[in-house]
Amino acid sequence: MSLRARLATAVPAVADEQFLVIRSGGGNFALPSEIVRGILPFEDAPGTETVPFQGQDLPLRNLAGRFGWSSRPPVSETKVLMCGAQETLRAFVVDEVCGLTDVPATAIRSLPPHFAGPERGWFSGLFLFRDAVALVVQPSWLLGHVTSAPALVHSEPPPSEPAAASIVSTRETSAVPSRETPAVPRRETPVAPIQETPAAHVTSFGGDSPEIVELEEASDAEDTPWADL
Amino acid sequence: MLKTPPGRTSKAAKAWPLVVFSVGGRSLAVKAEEVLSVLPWTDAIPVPSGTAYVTAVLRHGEDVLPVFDLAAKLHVQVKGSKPLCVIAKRKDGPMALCIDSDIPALQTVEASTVKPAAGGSDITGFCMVGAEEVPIYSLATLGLSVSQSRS
Repeated sequence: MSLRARLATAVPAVADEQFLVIRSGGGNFALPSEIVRGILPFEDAPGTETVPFQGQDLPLRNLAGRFGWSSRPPVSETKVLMCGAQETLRAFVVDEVCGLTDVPATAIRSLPPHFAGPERGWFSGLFLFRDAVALVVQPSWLLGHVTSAPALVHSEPPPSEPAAASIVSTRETSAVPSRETPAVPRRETPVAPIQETPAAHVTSFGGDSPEIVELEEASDAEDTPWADL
Repeated sequence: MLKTPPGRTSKAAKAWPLVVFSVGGRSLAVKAEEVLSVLPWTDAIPVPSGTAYVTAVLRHGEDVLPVFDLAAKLHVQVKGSKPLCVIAKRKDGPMALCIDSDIPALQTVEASTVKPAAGGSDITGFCMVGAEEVPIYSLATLGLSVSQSRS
């Protein structure tokens, strides 16, 4: 799906927030567009452990693994996502890039208070996306120090739908959720202003050598080089 | 002016209307006042979570409800090709539970016949449904005892 084919909203939004929605480990995750620095087809990555970007060799990590979910084998839709804020850069393998979407701020909901564990620090909220939901990832957490995900209740790939007679299986963990209904802010503000990147250039995927599309800030994502991906 | 004969009101107040259903073939009951609705089950959407038994959400129209995996807590698998969804009424917001496809039944029990359960669990008591002793779960506090014991 071309990123240019953005998801339309029925009503013109007064204050929309722009996200790049991706799929990883069976779930939809929304990343604030301002932290997305580049997208590369997985098959074009020069290695399976690192990817060169802006003079650095960024360790590759599956985004699902960041949440403690199992990763899936790469397929044709698998992409490498370069994300960053200020001088912090991270590279994540995702199953699929669904596209850019503008979401009214009023459409972003808080995670239900029944979720009382570390996930409250991972996600700032969620919104309806197609027939499911997209979880808004906290940029500060995503770009933070990459450590092993805490023990999760669900550490196996979720079953593929439909599964009429089964729901997500769980097991007890040592997680210590707090049930004191913390005051969850509806959304966090984006991270501090991002260091400007060199001028973007449009590249085509494939060919003999991998080429990374570097992203630049633009008032309208349709004008960005990587909107044609 | 009509007057209620003495004693009748007090007897009525001590009757518990219950919703009796099964999960993984195991019968259990909840207070009817804690059940918002019973609907056909739709596929849950997994959510990375460290909260015990709360690892998914469910879309019901424009609403997004957290899902409590009661089957996992009971170490059973939901039975039936068309499971049902109980929407529980809670202070922290409604919550969805997947139950067996057998249609739940309404039953009223006398409070005096309910056997109390040990404190600190999700079970508030036991009642007789036919010849079977059935636990009465508190949907209002379901799952809280797990987190509190670990805090």
